[in-house]
Amino acid sequence: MADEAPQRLGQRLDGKALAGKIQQELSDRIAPLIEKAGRPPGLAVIMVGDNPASAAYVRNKERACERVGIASFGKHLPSDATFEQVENLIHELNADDRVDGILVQLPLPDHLDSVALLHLIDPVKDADGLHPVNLGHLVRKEEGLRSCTPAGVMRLLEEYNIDPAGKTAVVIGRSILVGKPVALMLLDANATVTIAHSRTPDLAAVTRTADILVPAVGRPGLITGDMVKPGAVVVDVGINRVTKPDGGSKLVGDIDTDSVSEVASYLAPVPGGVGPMTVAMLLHNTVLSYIQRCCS
Amino acid sequence: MMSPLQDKRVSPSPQSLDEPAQSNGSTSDSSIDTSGFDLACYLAQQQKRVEVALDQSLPMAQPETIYDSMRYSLLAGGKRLRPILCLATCELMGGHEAQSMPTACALEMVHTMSLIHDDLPAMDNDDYRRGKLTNHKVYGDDIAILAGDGLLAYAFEYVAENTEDVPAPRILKVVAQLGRAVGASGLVGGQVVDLECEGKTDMTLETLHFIHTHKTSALLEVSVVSGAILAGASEADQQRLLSYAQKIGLAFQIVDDVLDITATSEELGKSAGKDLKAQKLTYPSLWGIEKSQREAQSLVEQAKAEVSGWGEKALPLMAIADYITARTH
Repeated sequence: MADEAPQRLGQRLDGKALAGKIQQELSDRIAPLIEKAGRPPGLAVIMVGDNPASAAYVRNKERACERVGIASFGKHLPSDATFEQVENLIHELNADDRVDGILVQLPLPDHLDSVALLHLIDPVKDADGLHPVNLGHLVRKEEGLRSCTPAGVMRLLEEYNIDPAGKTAVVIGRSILVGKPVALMLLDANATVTIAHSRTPDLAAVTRTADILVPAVGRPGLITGDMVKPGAVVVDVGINRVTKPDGGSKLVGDIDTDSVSEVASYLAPVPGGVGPMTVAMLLHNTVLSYIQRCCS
Repeated sequence: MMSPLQDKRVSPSPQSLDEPAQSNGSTSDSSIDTSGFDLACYLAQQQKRVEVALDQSLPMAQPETIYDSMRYSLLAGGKRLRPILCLATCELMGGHEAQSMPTACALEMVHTMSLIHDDLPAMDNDDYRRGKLTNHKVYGDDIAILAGDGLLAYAFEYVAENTEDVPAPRILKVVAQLGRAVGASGLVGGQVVDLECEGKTDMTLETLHFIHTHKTSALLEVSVVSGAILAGASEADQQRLLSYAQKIGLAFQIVDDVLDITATSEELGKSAGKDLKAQKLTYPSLWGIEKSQREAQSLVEQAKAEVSGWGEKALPLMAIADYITARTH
C-alpha cells in the first residue's frame, strides 16, 4: 500500500511563514553587529517612473527592511530621467559606505537600457544577484550573491526537506531572472534538469517526467493537473494579474491550483509561496554584503 | 555503565577542583551548594542518552508517512527535561536506567503529542516550533492529528513492553499515573479551561493556577514521580518528590510567562510576545515581572529544600530546579 505513490496531496509550501522566520533570524543576527559596525545594513532601491505595481513592490521591500532593521534608501526618479541620471545615481550609491545593497526596480521605462544599467552596479552590492559577475559565480558554483527568486525556490525546498538530488527537475521558462538560474541551482543540488520553453513541442510529455516542476513563464493556467506526475513537487514562480468576474483583480501563478492540488504532493502557491521568499532573500543578500563589508 | 553523577563522587573532575568553596565539607542538609555541580555537562550527557534511546524507540515502518511524521517531531530536539527528570529520580531512589528509560521515552512521546496537537490550526495555529516547521505544515493536518494519536498510544505500549527489572504492579502504577496526567484530569483538562478563558480579562489567579497545574505541571509531576515508582521508592519519598515537582512545575510556567515578555524570538525558538498580543492572562500580567521573578525564585528554593535531605545525591534535581529560573529560553 505504501509502495503506491503519494500519500499526501496538495500540501502547501508556505513561503510566507518561512519568509517570516528568515526575517526574524536576520533581525536577530543584525542586532549585535550594529554597534560594532557603527551603522545598520543599508539597501537602496532605485525606481524610475510611476508604475503602480512597481511602487507597491518597492513599498513592500521598504516595509520588510524596516521590520528587520535594515536602513532603506529609496531613490525615486521621474519617468523621463536620462540614462546619465540613473548612471550617476548608481555610481553615487556604489561609493556610499552606508549602502550594502543596490536594487534597480524593473521594468524600467523603454528609453532606458536596463541591462547596461545593471552592469554598472558594484557586484559586491548587487543585492538582486543579477550582475554578470554574480551570475558567473553561480555558473562556476562559486560563492557570490545569488539572484533572489531562484534562491528563494531552493530555500523553500530545503525547509521542507525536499532534496533535489537524484530527482528529475523540469523548469519551464528560460529567463535570466528565474529560469536559467533556478535550473543551475537545481543542477548544483544534483537534480537531473530539463529546461522547457516556448519552442518545446510536447510540453505535457516533458512536465509529466518531473519530480520537481518549476513553472516560471507568466501564463495563467499553463499547468493543469493532467500535466503533473502524481506525487510531484510543484513550485509555481509565475506571477500574473488577472481580472476577476466582479471587475477586481488578483494574483495567480502559472498553475491551475485546483487540479494540480489533486496530483502534486507539495505545492508552492501564488500568492504566499515563492513571492514572499524573493523579498526575504533580497534582505538576506543585503545582510550578507553588510557582514562581508563590515565584519571581515 | 557509570552515570556522570557517580563519576563525580568517585573522582572529582579537574574542573570541579578549581571551583572555590565547594568541598569545605560543611554541607548541612538544608544548604547544599549546587554551584560546583556541572549541570550543563550533566544535561548535555543525559540529553544525548535520551536522544539515542528515542531514536531507537521508534524505528521506521510501514506506512512510511505516519512513522516519518511521528519521528519528525519526536526527534526535533528540545531540552528533554521530562525524560531527564525521570532518569534522575529513578537513580536517586537507587534504580537504574533499564528501569526508567522506556518511561523516560514515553514521557517525551506524550509531550511531543501535546506539542503537535497544540500547534494545529484549530488550536494555537503555529507554523514553527524550535525553528522547524510544525508537523502539520509538513505532513498536513490529517497526518499531524494521527501522528499525535500514534505517539500517545505508543507511549503506553512502550512502557508496558520495554520496562526491565521492575515488578508489574509498579509498571501498572506508572501507566495509570501517566494516563491521569495526560487525560481530562490533567493536560487535556488544563487545555480545555485555557481555551475557554481565551479573551477573558477577568480570570482569577485560581483559574490560572488550575490551567498550569494541569497543562504543564501534571506531566512534569509524573516525570519525577514515575522514576521514583519504578525504583521502588517509599510512599513518603514519592510525596516529597511530588512536592518538588509541583513547585518546579509552577516556577517553570511563571518563568515561561516572563520570558514571553522579555526574550527575543530567537532565544525562545517561538514567536515572542505572543501572550501579550493575545491579551492572555499570565503571572506577570497579574503580579508584574518583578514579583513573578521573586515568586519563581522562592518556589525553586522550596523545591530544593524538599530534596535536600538526600544530600549530594540530589544535586541533579537541585541543579535542574535552579536551571528553571536561570534559563533564557
